Amino acid sequence: MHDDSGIQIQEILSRCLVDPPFLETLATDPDRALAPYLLSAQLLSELRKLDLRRIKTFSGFIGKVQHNHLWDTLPATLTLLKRYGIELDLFGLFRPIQFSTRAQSRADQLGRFVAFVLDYSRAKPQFAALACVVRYEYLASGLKSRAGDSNVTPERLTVTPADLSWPAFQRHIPVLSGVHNLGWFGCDPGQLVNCILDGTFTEYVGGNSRLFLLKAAADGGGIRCFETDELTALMLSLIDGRRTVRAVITAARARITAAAKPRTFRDFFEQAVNAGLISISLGASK
Amino acid sequence: MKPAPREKPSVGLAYSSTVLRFAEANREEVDYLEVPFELLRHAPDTIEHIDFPILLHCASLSLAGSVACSEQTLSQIAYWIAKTRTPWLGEHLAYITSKRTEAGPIPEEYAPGEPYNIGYTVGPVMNEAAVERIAKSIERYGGRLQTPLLIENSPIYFESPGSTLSQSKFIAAISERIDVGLLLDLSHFYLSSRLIGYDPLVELEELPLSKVVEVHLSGIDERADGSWDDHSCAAPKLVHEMLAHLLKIARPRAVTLEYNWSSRFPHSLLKDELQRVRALLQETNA
Repeated sequence: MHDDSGIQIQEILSRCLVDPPFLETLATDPDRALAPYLLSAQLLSELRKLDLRRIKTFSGFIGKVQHNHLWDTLPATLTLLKRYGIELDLFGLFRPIQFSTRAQSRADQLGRFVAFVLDYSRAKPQFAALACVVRYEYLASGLKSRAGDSNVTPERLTVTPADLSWPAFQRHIPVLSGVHNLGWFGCDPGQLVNCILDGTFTEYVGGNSRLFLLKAAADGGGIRCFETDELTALMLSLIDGRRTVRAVITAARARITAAAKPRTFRDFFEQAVNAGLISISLGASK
Repeated sequence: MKPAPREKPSVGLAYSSTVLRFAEANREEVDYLEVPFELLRHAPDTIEHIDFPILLHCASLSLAGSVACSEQTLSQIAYWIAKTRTPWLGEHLAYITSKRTEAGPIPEEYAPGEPYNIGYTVGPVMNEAAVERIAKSIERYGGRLQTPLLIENSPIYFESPGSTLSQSKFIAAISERIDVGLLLDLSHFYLSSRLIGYDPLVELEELPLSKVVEVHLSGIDERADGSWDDHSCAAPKLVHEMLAHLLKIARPRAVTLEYNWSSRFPHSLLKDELQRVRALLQETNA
């Protein structure tokens, strides 16, 4: 055997692991793939017998190891991939995208991976839980990051809405407490993630899409998740720290057809304060 | 920092930020942390947070490859050897890069013009030519770095064309050709045994066990399509049995538990595993 033959074999194997189109060509047209390499007839024969399925799975394994950092942001997603036995296949399929995003930031890589998992699971009802969980964990990671970065505590004296007269109440300014996001899910995603992580998950029982509100703890630690309604979502979206209660109600009434009387919105504000979603403070304008 | 003890085998953990938190809370359980050079190169501040003796591990020399490690990388490794006061440098008996002698008929988008960089250590073609090439690399790098090198057996996930030696005979041949210590990864050895079909307890004795300086243990992911290295779960029973067997015939100076892939590896399990290894060392008077 020529002394360099081992090096050439390693070059070809390396290429299989970092160049997915080459691996495909080696599988479908080995003569074409190997034509440029000067190899003995014996080595060519051995290369043609190479278990390319195994090499492909190994490539997926390498991709998986290179994404170990995802355990911090997508722990339930990775746990599910493992449970379904599709971890290495999925990371193998992700390899071309991984190589195309090599120079990007961790955040970009995360976004690409989440998009890939969603795309992968879209047409596979058996992986409905996967789609739900990866979307939830991605939203949650974004919230934790924003909660860690932002200073959301208003430097104003907060008040208890129940103590205020209706005219005084309307002059106050609602401020979002912490950061939140909204998403439609077929089940309670927070509960599903908890079940997966504590090992009690058995099967996914999904239903009609419902709206859930995810709220990050002020220190960026945990996420609270609870079902909500579209009116609440609308009201929260209108609270910007500048609008008064009256202005928020006016903006909301302009957006809904069956406009309720302004006073009926008071319940929303009181409940939102009690749930820790907002605080009410006395603004500059009285 | 105190140097790693010489007489009694030390028991340590492969570094991750989660493992560090565990180690800080359980100082009596952890003698040292094994830290990858690649982490220190990219995040040098990491060292400021580690108040434990350090064993430096490395995957950058690509001992079995054809691309020489750059002088810049060697200088950085030398710097971290001095800075960490590691008693040795553990390096994979593997390649991580390969020369690109032929681009092939298919246009490549991945790192054009650069060597193939797998980003993961791959077990080499095992033949006499490789023994000679690797021995020369060990001689060159050992001289340049002025610290003992240990070679770590890689898991064999597929049989490379061109290989004419078993892994044990390959390692033994290198050991005969040059004086080098062995970092015996028992989980890797077990994985190789699964693929090739030998009894790991029997094959173990084919290795130059008197050269074993450090031992690695990690988990195994048993799947329908094969067994894979897995640092996110505990080592299986057989790997602990292999350690017990090894300790009857060899005297390693350090046993490292590599449970560093998942931030969700339970601390209670880490503690159990450390205590299990210490109990074994006690039983075998190692």
